[in-house]
Amino acid sequence: MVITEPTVVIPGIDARPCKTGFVAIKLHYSSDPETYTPEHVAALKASMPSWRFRKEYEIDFTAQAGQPVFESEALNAQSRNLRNPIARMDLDESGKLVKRERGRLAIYQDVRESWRYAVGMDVSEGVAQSDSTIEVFEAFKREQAAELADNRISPPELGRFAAAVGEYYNRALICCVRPMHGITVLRTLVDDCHYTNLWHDRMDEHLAAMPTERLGWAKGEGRSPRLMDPYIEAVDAQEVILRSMQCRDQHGQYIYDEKGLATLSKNTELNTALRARHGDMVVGCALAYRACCDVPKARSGHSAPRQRSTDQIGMPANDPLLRKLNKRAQRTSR
Amino acid sequence: MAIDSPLMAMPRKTLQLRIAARWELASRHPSYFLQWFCFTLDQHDQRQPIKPFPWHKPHIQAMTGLWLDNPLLIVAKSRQMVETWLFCALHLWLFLFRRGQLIMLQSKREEDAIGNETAGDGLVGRSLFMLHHIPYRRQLLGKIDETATKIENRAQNNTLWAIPQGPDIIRQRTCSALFSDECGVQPDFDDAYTAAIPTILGGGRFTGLFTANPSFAQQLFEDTLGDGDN
Repeated sequence: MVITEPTVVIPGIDARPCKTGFVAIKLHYSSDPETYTPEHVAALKASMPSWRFRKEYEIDFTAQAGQPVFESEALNAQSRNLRNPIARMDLDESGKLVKRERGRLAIYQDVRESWRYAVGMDVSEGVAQSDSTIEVFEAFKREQAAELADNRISPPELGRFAAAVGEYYNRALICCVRPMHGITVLRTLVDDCHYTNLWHDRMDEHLAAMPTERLGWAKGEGRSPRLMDPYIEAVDAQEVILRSMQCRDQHGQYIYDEKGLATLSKNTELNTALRARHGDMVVGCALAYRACCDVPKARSGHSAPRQRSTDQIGMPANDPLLRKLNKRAQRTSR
Repeated sequence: MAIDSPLMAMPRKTLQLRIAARWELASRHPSYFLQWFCFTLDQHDQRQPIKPFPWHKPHIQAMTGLWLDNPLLIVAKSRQMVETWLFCALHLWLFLFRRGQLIMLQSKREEDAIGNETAGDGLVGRSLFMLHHIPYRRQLLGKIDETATKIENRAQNNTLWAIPQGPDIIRQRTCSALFSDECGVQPDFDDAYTAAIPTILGGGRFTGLFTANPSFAQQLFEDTLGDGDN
């Protein structure tokens, strides 16, 4: 049947032609009454939240709007991980990190010599609007190690601060947003601080017919599924350890908007452009998580980031028990 | 083929003729292929997990007809409608009965596109399962090469290829048919769509299948590409 006008093919299957030449088909479960008996549908409805049933079975694209992005159970489970900072640090006159009672950087984990760290940065203008954030994660266990959130720090100063934090945490891999003031921070890191361990993206440059490397995260921030989806999965699977209570609470403020994109609930009344610019700790965490995934394995001193075995146990690679297990596994494989 | 099949009671010559006639019909229309030569794996069924393709269901017949007559399809579906199996079977039909076909089966991750034949999982995994369960396949099929990501029939210049999301592989080739499974959760589906435009405009097949999720696939489905800030 060639579709040239909107057509009900059989009850439950609607087809209509599109401007693009495609035929759009809506395939509803009612077209399969043998499987989807009234009892089965009732059981399905009872087994999941109503919005999820509407989304997955009734083909309702807006059912997700207003629902929390991060599962509340996963965030509640983070409560046992929350800590007060063990110290606070700030920059001294020479640009090095020193302990200060009211320092802007909250330290949750002492730096360890052989461990690798990743830093995520979201940048604001520094005029008392949204926060600029620096989130430091230990790359192996994905554990929050330090945090800065300041809405008055200027982008160049944030760049110098980030360089000091990166150096302090064993030359951590820094993943910073590129749009807007992010580029100022990146230039400060490279030109003024000579910090080179920066997350970069490789893009095909068609004019030059060769790949070029671009520093920083290019495609959106809090509303970018490419950035947020893996992080949401990791938080929901409790693969991330959050230490800051304020940061955990910000996760709870994220909801899906009518387009299915993550947004801060208190900003839903703002227009899309303004919401997209809003920076916060969750974006910093998502960028840090992305950097954690990209910390080079060979240099990390740990096994691959997403492997289940040792990562989940939280065991360092040189642990005697782990060596013993590996030897046993090798013997078995022979 | 089950031992108690009526085919087994036939004299050998009659059986061969019957199978050959059915295969000939299957080559002409996928409905015969689904009806007589396709088996699926139902992991939920403890007693009889391998079963004939549920061809008798009205929505399967309707979707087969729509796919055959409309080369560009974007399908928003409820969950568990056996559609991934159906489109794998239909692209397998293209692979078996047409010549010079480069068929790409795309999923979010390459692992999902490759899948596992033993578990009847993934796109190529499902295709391989159906391919290996075609009754009398040794008599009916020529030599088919299988690698981790591809199934190839060199005699007919046909390739069935599992690819991950994104435009990179599509851009370098003009394929005959592309099936993108769960394209609503592929962040790079817009790029893949753009890369596949030569296929789309050149008369190839493009089938996007997804469960409702706000995405580029939704815009394609709702025909709102290029409208406003979409």
